[in-house]
Amino acid sequence: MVAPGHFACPGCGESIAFRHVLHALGRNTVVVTTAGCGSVVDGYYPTTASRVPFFHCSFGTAATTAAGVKAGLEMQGDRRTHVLAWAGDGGTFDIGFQSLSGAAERNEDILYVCYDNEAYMNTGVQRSSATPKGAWTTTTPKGALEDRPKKNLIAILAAHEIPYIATATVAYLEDLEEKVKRAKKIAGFRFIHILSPCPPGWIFPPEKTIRLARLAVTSRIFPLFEVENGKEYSLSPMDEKVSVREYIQGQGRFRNFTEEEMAMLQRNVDQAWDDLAAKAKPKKRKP
Amino acid sequence: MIEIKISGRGGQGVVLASQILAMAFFKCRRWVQAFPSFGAERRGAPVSAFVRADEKEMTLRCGIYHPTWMILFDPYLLENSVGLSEIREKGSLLINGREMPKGMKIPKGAHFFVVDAIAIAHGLGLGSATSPIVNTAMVGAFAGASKLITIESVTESIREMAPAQREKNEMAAREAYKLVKAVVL
Amino acid sequence: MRRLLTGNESAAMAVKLSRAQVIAAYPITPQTAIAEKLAEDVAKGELEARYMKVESETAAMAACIGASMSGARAFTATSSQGLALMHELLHWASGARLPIVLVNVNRSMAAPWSLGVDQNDSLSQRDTGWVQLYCETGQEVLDSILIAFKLAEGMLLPVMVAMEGFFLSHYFEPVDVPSPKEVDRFLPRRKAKYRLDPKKPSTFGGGVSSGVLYSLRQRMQADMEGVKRFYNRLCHQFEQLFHRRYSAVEAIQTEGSELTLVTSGTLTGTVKAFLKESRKGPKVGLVKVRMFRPFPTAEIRESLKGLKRIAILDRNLSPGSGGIFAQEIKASLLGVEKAPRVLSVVGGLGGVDITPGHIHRLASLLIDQMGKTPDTIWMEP
Repeated sequence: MVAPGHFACPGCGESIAFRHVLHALGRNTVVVTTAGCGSVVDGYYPTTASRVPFFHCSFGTAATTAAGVKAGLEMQGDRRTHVLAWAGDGGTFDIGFQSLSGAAERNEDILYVCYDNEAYMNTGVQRSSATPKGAWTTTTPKGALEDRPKKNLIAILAAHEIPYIATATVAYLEDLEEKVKRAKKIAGFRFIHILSPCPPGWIFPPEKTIRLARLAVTSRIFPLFEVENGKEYSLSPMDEKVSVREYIQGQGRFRNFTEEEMAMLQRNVDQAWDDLAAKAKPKKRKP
Repeated sequence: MIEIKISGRGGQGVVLASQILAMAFFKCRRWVQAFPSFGAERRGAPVSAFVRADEKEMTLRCGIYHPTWMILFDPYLLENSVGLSEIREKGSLLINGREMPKGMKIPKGAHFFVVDAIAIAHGLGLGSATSPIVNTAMVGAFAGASKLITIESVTESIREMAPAQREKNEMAAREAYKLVKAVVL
Repeated sequence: MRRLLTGNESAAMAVKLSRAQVIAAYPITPQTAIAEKLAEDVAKGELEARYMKVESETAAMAACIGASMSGARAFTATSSQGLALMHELLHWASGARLPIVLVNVNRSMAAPWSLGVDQNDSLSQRDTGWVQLYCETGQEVLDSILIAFKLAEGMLLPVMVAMEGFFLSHYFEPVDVPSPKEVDRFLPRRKAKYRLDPKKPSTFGGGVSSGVLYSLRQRMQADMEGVKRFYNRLCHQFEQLFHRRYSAVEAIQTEGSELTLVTSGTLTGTVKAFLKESRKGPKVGLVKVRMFRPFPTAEIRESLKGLKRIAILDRNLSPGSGGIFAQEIKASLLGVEKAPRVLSVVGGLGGVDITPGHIHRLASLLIDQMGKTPDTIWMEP
C-alpha cells in the first residue's frame, strides 16, 4: 500500500503507522493529509509513495476536507470507499482542532488518525499542545521547558460522543491493525490516536523506536484502550507495568528531568492509570 | 413610477407587507421592487420597507426618499421617526387608526386615508390583543384608497405569501378595502 | 417563468437548478437567506445534495475542496469576514484547479462592524486565481451562477459570483426562472477527469520544484485567457437557450459622449436610470464591467476607444492607492493611442446610497473638473 523510497527519517514512527493503517483499510481507501511529516514523507511531485488516492489539503483542515471528500463520493453513488484523514499532532490538537471538533460533532463518516510525535517535527521540533510536560523543543528550550501537561484529546473527543476512539502505537502492530479494522466497520466519526516516536525530535537512536513505543505503553504514560460512544471504556492487552523512569531516561528531550519531576510524573501517571482502569473493563482477548 | 414607504414596528410584518404589495402590483402587470430598510432589527423597533412600481422595467437601485405614498402601521410613529415632510408633493398617507392624529403638520396638497386595521384584526382574531396582525388589512386598505391595484391581486398575493391563516388574512384585506376612508381636512 | 424573488432567493434557485451535489456554508449577514433556502430545499428533497453545516467559513471552503476533488459539484456562499477567513483556501482551490462556485454577497470589511455594501471583500481576493463576475440584477445573479458552474468545470478554475449585499441580496424583483429541463440542457452533470478514485489512484498536491510551480502558473495564466474566450462562447450558448445576452464588458450609448461612466454591480442600474431621465445637459455614456478576473483588457480597450473622458466609479478602495477597478482599467489603457482622459471616483462605501441625483451632480462636476483635479474624487455621501 506504500511504496518503498519514501522520505521518512530512519526509525520514523509515522511511516510504520501509515503502512499498517493502510494495510488494515485496504485499497478502497482515499487519504487526505495535511501539512506535517505525513505529507512530506509521501514524496515530492512527480513521485508518490501512496498506492491509494492521496490528497494534500491545507493545514488545519484535514477533518473537514476528508468529510467533503466523503460527501462528494457518496453523492456520486460510492458509499463504500473509506476516507482516511491522516494528520499529525499539530494539525489535530492545535490548528486542526476546530476542524476536528466540527467534524466530530457532526459525526462525519470518516476515519481520522492522528500520528502523534508530540511536536511540530516537520518544521524543526517546535512545541504543540501534545508536547508532554518537561520536554525540550526549540520553542521550549532549557530554562523554559514545556510546562503544561499534554492536552487530553481523548477526553475531549469522548465528550463529543463519537462512536469510536482508540489509542495505539507502533510497538503493538496487531493491536493497531485490529483497531483500524474495527473502526472500518463502524459508521460515523472514528478517531485513532497513534503515538509515533520521532528519533530526531525526541532525541534517541533510530533503532530504538519500537522499544520506546513499548515503554510508553508499559509505563502507562500512553495506555492502550478504546472508547465507544464516549462512555464505554475498554483496556487493550498491554505488557506488565514498569516505572516511568524507564521511558523517560531513554530520550534526550527529557534530559533535564529532575528527581522531583520524575516523582511527580510517576504520581500523575499512577493516578491517571487508576482512573482509567476504574472506567474500563479489561479486554477478554489474549495479549 | 410609484414609490411607497411602509413604516411600522419590528414584528408587525412590515417587510412581508412590502412583498405582498409588490406581488399585487406585479399581478397588475407592473415591474416592481421591494426592499427593507437595512440594519439590525428587533421587535418593537421602528422599521420601514419600500416598494417601487412602474409600467416599464426599473433599473435604478437606491433608497426611496420622497415616496408617493406612505403607509403607517403605527400612528404613534408620526411623533418620532417618520417624517411627513418626506411625502412627495400631492402624495398620500394611509394610517392605521380611527381618525387623523391631532396636531399634525399637514403637507400642502396631500391626501389622507384612515382605516382601523386593529379593529379588523381583533374582529377576525388575527394576532393577539396587544399584537394584532394589521399588515394584510393595511395592504387591502391601500388597494381601496389608491385604486392602483385590484383587491383580487391583493388577496391572491396573500394566498401565496401569508405564512399562516390565509383565509383570515384575506378577509382582513377585503374588509379594509371596503372600510378605508378618505379624510377631508 | 417570471417570479418575484430576492437576490438571495435567486442565488439559491440557481444552485438548485445547477444540481449542486455538496453544499457547505456558514451563516453571515447578508448571505444567510441563501444558506437557509438551500438547507430547506435539501430537507424537502427538492435538491439532492449533501448539506454540510460546517463550523466556520474555513471549514466551508475546505469541505468544498474535498468534495470537488472527489469529483462532485460543490458550492458555498459567504460575505466579507467569511470570505476573508477563506483566503488561504481560495488560493488552495485555484491551485488545485477545482471548479468550485462561490457566491459572495458583498459587504464592508470590519473593523468596525458594518453591514453596508462595498466591494472590498471580493476585490481583496483578486490575486487568488478565481474567476470573478459582478452582478447588477437578480436575473444576472441567477444566470451568472448557471454560467459559472459550466465555466468552472470547463476550464478547471473556481468562479466567484459577486452580488451586492442589500441592493441585490434583499431586493425583491421579477426574475425569469428557467425550468430544470432547460437548465439541464445548458448544464449537464459534472464529469470530473481528475478526481480521487480508488480505481485510478493518484496523488494530488504534493511538493513541487520551482520549475514545476513556474510552469503551473504559466498554465493558469493561459487558462485564464482561455476563460475569456470560453465565457464568450457560453454567453452565446446561453443567449440561444434563454434569450438573455451577457458579455465581459457592456457599452451603453457611449458614442459621441462627453463623459462615460464606468461602473460595476448595482450602481450600473442607477446610472442607467439617470441616463434615461437626463434629456438636457452633456451627453453621458456608460460602460459596465461584468468580468473582473480574468481582466478583460481587450474588451475594455474596445469599449473605451475614441472616448473623450471616462470616470470610473468604484464602490471600493485600496487604502493607499485608490479605486480598484480604476487601477486596473488605467493599467489596461497604458500604451493605447489617444486614450481617454481618466478620472477615478470612489463612493458608496459602507453602503452609502447613490441616487440618480448623485450621478447628475457628479457628471456635471466631472466634466468641469476633468484634468484639473487630483487623481481620486470622493462622491458626496
